Amino acid sequence: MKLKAYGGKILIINLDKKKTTTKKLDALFARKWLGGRGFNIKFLYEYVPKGTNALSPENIIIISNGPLDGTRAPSSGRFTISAKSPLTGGVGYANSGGHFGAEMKYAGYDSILIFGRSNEPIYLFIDDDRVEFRSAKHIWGKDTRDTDHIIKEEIGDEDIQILYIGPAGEHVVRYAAVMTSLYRAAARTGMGAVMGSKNLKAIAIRGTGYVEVAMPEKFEEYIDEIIPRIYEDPAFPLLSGTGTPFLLDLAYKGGGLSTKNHQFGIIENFDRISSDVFASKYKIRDKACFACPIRCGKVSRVSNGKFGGTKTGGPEYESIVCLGTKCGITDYPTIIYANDLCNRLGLDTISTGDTIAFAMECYEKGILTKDDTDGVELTWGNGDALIEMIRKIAYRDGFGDVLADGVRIASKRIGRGAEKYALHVKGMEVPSYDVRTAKGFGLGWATATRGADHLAALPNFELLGYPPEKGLEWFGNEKTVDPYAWEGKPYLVYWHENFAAVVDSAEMCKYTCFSAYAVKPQDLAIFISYAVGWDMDEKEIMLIGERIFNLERIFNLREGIGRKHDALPKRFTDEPLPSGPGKGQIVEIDKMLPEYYRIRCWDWETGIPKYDKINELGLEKEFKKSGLKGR
Amino acid sequence: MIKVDINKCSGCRTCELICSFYHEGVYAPRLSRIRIKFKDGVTDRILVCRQCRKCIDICEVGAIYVDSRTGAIKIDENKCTGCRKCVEVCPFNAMFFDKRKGIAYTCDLCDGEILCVKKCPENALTII
Repeated sequence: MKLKAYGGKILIINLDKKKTTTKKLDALFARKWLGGRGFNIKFLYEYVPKGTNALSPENIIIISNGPLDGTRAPSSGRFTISAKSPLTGGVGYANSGGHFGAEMKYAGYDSILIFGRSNEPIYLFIDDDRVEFRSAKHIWGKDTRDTDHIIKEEIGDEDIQILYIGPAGEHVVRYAAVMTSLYRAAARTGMGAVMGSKNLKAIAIRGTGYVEVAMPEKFEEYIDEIIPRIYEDPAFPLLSGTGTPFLLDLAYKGGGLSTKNHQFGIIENFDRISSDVFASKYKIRDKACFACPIRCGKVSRVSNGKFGGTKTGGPEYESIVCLGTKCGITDYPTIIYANDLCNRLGLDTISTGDTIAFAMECYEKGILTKDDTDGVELTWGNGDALIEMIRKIAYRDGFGDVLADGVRIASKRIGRGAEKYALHVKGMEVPSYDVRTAKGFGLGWATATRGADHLAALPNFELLGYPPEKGLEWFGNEKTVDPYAWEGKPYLVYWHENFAAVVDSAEMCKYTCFSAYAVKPQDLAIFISYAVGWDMDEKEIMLIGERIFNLERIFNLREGIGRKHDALPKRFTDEPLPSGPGKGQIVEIDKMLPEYYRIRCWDWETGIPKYDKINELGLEKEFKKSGLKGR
Repeated sequence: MIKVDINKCSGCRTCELICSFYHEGVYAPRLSRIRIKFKDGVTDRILVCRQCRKCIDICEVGAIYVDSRTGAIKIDENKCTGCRKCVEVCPFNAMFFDKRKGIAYTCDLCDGEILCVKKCPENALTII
């Protein structure tokens, strides 16, 4: 019998033979891995052998939605796209909102697996049960916006949903994004590069079906119970009103607004870039993802000046910092234009901004000169240089070809001590909040399976000004509410990583779960139980999350990414913040990591999960296959 | 009648979800009687019945009528022949066609408490 709430089908596409097959979703598999990110790591682990070149036809792309996709459960229309990452060499995945995840469910699919490589540019049109392989010769080279228009026109339906890459993915930039719904990005770990390497320009989907839940009345009642809790979240009016740029103010006040490649945690002229400026001068309207009452998405416009007429989704907080303050830029029109350019070219704004900020610091230190950079003056605050470099990266033009591989590879190519300024974990560039002023986030960057990743744990709990008693009550330590403290953070991060993994698999948005914690593990258990007809509890939910996180870990370990890669760039551990409220702070990673390993039940020397943990999580078969030696 | 404020609409499609849930018992935006149309990623227009009654005039079998209690346009499923003339004539593209049942359908104001209006998180829909 088909499981309620799930699509019920796995679509397997072979690009070499241009053939497709479908198989039924197995109920036990679904309960063990839940959906989204969970399904993806299980498939990735099974189908991508050790040592596979991420840009070879042997890598696979997996797209999955979750059991709540397509329903009215708040902020639940997301999907995860996974593959082995060409940026880190480990597990790659990126999650996005928009409307694609829900549409995929209406077409009847829980997962789409894409094998092989097409010998010429193509795009897929999945029309319920029918799959067409269509030539993409005429759209190869087009930006994401034109691609969206052309495909919708060609199919003659404006309601279809599409994933696409821009020129950056075509040129296999290692941090190319996959874009959808024009402005939403599945940005991190270079999933766009994997699509590009397969000559796959886009995936269009039309689903005319429906989603049926097991206990419809109870499910609807629970939605109406949860939504007011989301509204009571203190972050709700900020996310809803200003959007993620409100975090700029929080970061600045905490001394963690990443500036000039993380040399500083505060910036001069902050009043030019505060969230008020964005909200009052550039934001023109709100834009929600599927079934989302928060609608943190914003559309912005520059009305006059050099960038007059630019209109785009965002910029989000991360993009403002990475394309802005990290490069010493505080000019909104420049940032909005640069963000739009990244959206159209299909680039991760975090890695793009970081890579340019890295080059700017090398330029400052004399490691790079104009002779190296095709004459571009990579000075702090130079907006024209930022925009020029974004273009060069996307097309791998000149010096852009060096930066297109990310800071880890670029710094090795540049040499001359450039590695010191390459801020990455496991090869992925670092996000935006300076973790010397948010120690839980610091630990989270170090331990995340996809590299420097603020979303793997997202331990917002430490940033939101909760009283110490709440820290004690929820996470067993009063210090967990103090962003500058390291005490108690290992457990905080462990809990958040496990919960985040399961939220990413239900494909709910983390903003419902990780600020006022409106949706807690027990709530997610109830949602899923009412949707599917299972009897899940909080314990099972958290165990699924831990299982997913550990299989990602095992995938990485099999690729040789382990204990020594759970580390932060020295800038965060050895260079105290020089100024601002966080002056003197470093991340005490050496104090946190051993405790974190103990809690995780991972071997301190090898970083391999111990047998007790493997057995508890039901990963015996997977672990055996890894060839790793446990204890 | 449901009045739409396009500028307030965030495009979350809650209206489509609750509409199909109430009428069909499942979540199915393509069976919704209210639909959001997007352009350049944001809401461009919302298709919903404005009760202009052009469909009533064109229906040759008299299947379409005004519900005396709610004032909504209703379709007698037994009389509807599936000719789609009402779908074509609707100036608001708010008369839809159910291919499975072979009949036309449109907003019936939920026969009482109008759920899309009630559940819209943006208060973009009002009753006039």
